[in-house]
Amino acid sequence: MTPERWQRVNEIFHSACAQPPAQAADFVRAECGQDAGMCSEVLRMVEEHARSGMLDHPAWDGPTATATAREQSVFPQGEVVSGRYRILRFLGRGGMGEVHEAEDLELKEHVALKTLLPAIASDSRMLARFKQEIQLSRKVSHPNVCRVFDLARHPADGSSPATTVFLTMEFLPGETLSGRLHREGRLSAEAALPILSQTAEALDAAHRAGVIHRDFKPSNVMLVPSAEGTRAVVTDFGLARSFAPSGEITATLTGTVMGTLDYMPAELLAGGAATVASDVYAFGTVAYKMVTGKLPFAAGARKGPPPSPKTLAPDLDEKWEQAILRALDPDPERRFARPGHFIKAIEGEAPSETVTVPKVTRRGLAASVAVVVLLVVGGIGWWEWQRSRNQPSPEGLRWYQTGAAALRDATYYRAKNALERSISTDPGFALAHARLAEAWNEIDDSERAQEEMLRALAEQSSHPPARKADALYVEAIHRTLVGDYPGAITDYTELAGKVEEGEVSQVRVDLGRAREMNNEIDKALEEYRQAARQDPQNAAAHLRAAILLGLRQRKYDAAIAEFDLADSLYRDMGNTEGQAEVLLQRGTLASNLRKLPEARAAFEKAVQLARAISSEHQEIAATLQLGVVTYLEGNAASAEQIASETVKKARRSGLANLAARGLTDLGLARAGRGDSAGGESSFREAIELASHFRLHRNEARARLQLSSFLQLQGNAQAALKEVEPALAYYRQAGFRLETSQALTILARSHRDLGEYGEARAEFEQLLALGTAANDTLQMMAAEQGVASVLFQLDRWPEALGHYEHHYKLAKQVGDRGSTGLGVLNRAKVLWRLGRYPDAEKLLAEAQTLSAQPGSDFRLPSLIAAYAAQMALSRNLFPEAAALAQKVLHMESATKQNQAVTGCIAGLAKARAGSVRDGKRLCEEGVTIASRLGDPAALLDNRLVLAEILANGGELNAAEEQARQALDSLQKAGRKESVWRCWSILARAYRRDGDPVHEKEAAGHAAAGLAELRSLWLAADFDQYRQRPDIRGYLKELPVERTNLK
Amino acid sequence: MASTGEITVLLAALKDGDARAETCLIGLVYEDLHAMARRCMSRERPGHTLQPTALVNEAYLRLIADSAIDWKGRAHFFATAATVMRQFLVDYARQRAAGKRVGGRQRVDLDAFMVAASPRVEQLLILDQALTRMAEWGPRQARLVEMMYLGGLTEAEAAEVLRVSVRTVRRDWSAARAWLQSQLSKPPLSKPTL
Repeated sequence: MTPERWQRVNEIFHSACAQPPAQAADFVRAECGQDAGMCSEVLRMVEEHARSGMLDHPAWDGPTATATAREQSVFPQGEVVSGRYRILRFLGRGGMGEVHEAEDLELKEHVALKTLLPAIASDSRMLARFKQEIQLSRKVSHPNVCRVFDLARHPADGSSPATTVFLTMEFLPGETLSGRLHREGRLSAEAALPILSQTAEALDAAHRAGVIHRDFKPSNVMLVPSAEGTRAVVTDFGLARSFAPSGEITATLTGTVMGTLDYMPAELLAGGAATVASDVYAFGTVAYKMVTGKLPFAAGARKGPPPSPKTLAPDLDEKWEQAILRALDPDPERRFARPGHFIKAIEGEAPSETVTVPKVTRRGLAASVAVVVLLVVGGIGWWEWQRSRNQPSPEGLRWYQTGAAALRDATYYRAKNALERSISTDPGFALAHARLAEAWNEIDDSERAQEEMLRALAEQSSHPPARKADALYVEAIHRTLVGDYPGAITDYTELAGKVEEGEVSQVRVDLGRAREMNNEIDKALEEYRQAARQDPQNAAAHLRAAILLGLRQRKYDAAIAEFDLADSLYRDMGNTEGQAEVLLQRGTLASNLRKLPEARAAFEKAVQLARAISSEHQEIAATLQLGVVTYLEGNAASAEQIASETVKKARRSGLANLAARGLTDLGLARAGRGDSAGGESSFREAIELASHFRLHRNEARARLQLSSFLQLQGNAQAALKEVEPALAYYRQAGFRLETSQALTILARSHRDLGEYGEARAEFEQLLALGTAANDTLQMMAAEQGVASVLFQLDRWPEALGHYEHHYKLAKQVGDRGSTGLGVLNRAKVLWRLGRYPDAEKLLAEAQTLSAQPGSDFRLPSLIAAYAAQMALSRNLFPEAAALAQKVLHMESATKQNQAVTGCIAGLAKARAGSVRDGKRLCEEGVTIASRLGDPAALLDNRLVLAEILANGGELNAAEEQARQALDSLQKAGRKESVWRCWSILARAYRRDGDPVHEKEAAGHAAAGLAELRSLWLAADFDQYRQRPDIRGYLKELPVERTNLK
Repeated sequence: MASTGEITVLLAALKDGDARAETCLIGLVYEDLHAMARRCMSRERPGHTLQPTALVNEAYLRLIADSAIDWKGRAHFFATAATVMRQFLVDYARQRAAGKRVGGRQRVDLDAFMVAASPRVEQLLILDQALTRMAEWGPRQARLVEMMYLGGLTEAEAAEVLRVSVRTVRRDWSAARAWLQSQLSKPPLSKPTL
């Protein structure tokens, strides 16, 4: 672009922005004439102009920065904001921003000006929701409700990145109730009553208008002195909900966003929706606080009934005591039906459910009659409206049922479409909103999911559904979305006992899904089985059972039988999408088990079916899986092409989550076949894509897989970087299985980096989690982890026990990959303990296993490496050198393996006579280990290098290597290596004719050996001493030398 | 460390419209700012709310707060610092994107130092490239974005530094913002055109 052209672009852009939005595009086209490039440029700018984006918020504008840069306050005194309000005074800071007193220059009156936190103001969806709330609360017009005037921004035209959004509202000169309580401690009943009665009227008025306060507390009550006594005004109506920034439903509940939870009832804290009853509870808590000066419950403790208010305020009237306790009843149904009834109870009137005629005020009888008429008319209108909203129309209900069924069938796009239609017919249908939230969540659009869930809760609280079960469904879904699976399980269990018989089978499937998410696989399977028994036509139950049987329990035949059943049921129902889903899942199972022909057949058929019914997402999903199969079949180029074309297509169709998923699967296939670079690039592409489209779950999955792969590759540092965000996501979302997987990788990476304390703690955490959940796979990973840490700390006998346990578990679940590694791990410890025949047997067993399908690709190279190490330990130098050389040329050998084995080869060669060759090989090993950042391998290698150098008479170099290693070895507590290191030094000094240092080193070696002896069992230790190489090291020890002579 | 006197003189020259003074000022504060940024980033724990703007603030306080510099001088200083911080952060982001370890031995995660609404490292790189290109045909707008977005200057401060009216600042901003945002919202895999 040239400056002239940019000038022209600017002119057209500014003029276009001044046009009415509908005409802007035509204006731009007319102005740009033939210049299509400029036209599209400007059109995109105009589009961006209307949209909020990254630049709307200064890059680093946090509280610190703003506060310092602008003298602690957003608006300086005297400034005229938004061209209309002159700031008079800074009043204070609250949960949502700052409050100022300002003068409205147009209307010449004082207003309160409340700024919004940038986090709220910069999120266009949040802002939209916020506006909706304001509109709602403006429906409430009552002298005891603070009036909200407007939402405005400064600068008014939004032209600066530092835009501040603020609310203008009635200015209330006075103090908050919380301030007064702070000052006076507690109030007498006489002083409290007028305040409570006014706030009760305010809340009642709001409830009549369908507005729930949600955050009623003393700091939201302003006390304004007036001629007729104190006027109590309730502020911040209905705003509480808007405060939860997208992605933080739970955060509002834990208080990080909203502040106090003291005034919320238990049902709200448990994730329930705000209702009139929750406002009544808050009201009761405020009353309690006013007359006793204390809160009924200490923070966090919310068990049993609250202490009687009379114990704190002995002179309190019995009526007060009773009224307060009733308002605080844990059972929402037993509380007062509305706050006004609380006042009536105190004043001695029986609470009644009907609209009562208001007391005649001094305005006169005529006025009061008018009010009554209005109330009655308004009341009727309101009830009519509510009833029509509560009963979904037949059409809305039908779409809802289709959607809910599709959710159970795991056809989430179909579910989404159906539920959207249900909602477009019946916008007030809370349950349909909740189900839609669930569908979005499955499609990995958590923002839409949360938005939809908030809508569901809003609809439900303003218009409680006619059917009680619906509220429970909504609650169950809400709990699922916030990761409270045990809560969801409780809800669905309750539902199963409440719904009509015909519906029980469906609830069972929901219950099974919740159990699955809670990682209770056996129980989930049982639910699906029961569902299928109750309704043999329930295809979803069969499909979901098949997935669990196959992928989680590895029972292929049983899974196939269930798939077949599901398939025939879907076919009978004419549900082709369901059939395609069965094929997809079937193919995935076959592909995982490397049954490639079956997988290919299933995916190809799925593509066909999906095409026939224009189910684009299924077609794309199946094609991506075909790409993976193609890769596994050995046709990398063709797989690549399929993947990249399909990913493009998926992105074009707005199905980025499928693309991200497919890329991760391809990465897995590539990495599984040892194609490191290819695997990594697929994972990274998936991460990039997922992060661009904010597909949090897909991003976490790709990161998890990448980190696992990196850790296996010996790049623990990089693995940590990927796994930490993934772990944070899974923890927050409550995905137990994935959390434990991520924790495993985290622990392994820490171990690889030599951070043994952290690693061991994390592995033990995993073991506890796995044992608690009776999750064998997790226990396996944890056992292996603990073992490997112990192994690296030279606590071999203890490590052996954990390795054995790991092996048993692996065999039990029939995991071939882990079984093979389990055999090898034991061999690795056994030869070190001098039990060569046992180790040899295991190596042979591993050899057999490595030939079987499904075994770990690293097996052959590890077998050779361990055999080399063992041969070296037995002083069989040529054999050791040959075996080690073999490993160095194996493609399946990891870099870590090659680094360690390089040194083994070096030492074997040196001992066999080729000292120079050996030294070179070993030095390479040290360099590789150092480059890998693998401290354990580096230490081992330094030790070997020191030995080669010492044997070769290079004292200084040997000493340097040994001393460098010693420091870290001692720090890590690796006793076995420590004493050997001293022994090597002693030998070096002896060769150099330095008896003083020799004696010193030999003394250290002997002391180290004694420590090792105390750490191990005698039997283990004696066997270890018999190792030919160890006998060599022992020769340097003074005592041993006398013995050996 | 640069002396207060020199900086004060340079800021005064900047206020008088001496463009060369900026280059000198950058030279003077560059090392200090960089050292502070590196030190803070390597020592602070992730999650700490340390931010570049806060850093610049700290630098400002340490270097010149005592001397009699009015808000206009301050604005010039912040504008200068924004340039330095942009370079620092972009270098940092680049190294990070290339997978190199940055900042010596300690592993530092720039993302962890940014508040939730801060840009991601990748976005920062795209923005930097887009700004560099924009500087070729619309240097004033590019500089404006650098100062306001990366440096946290207010409209009035930016207007003072650029010697234009606040109205012009607003017009420039809205056009630059729209163009940059159209660059940023492109899919990450395709190269920005134009």
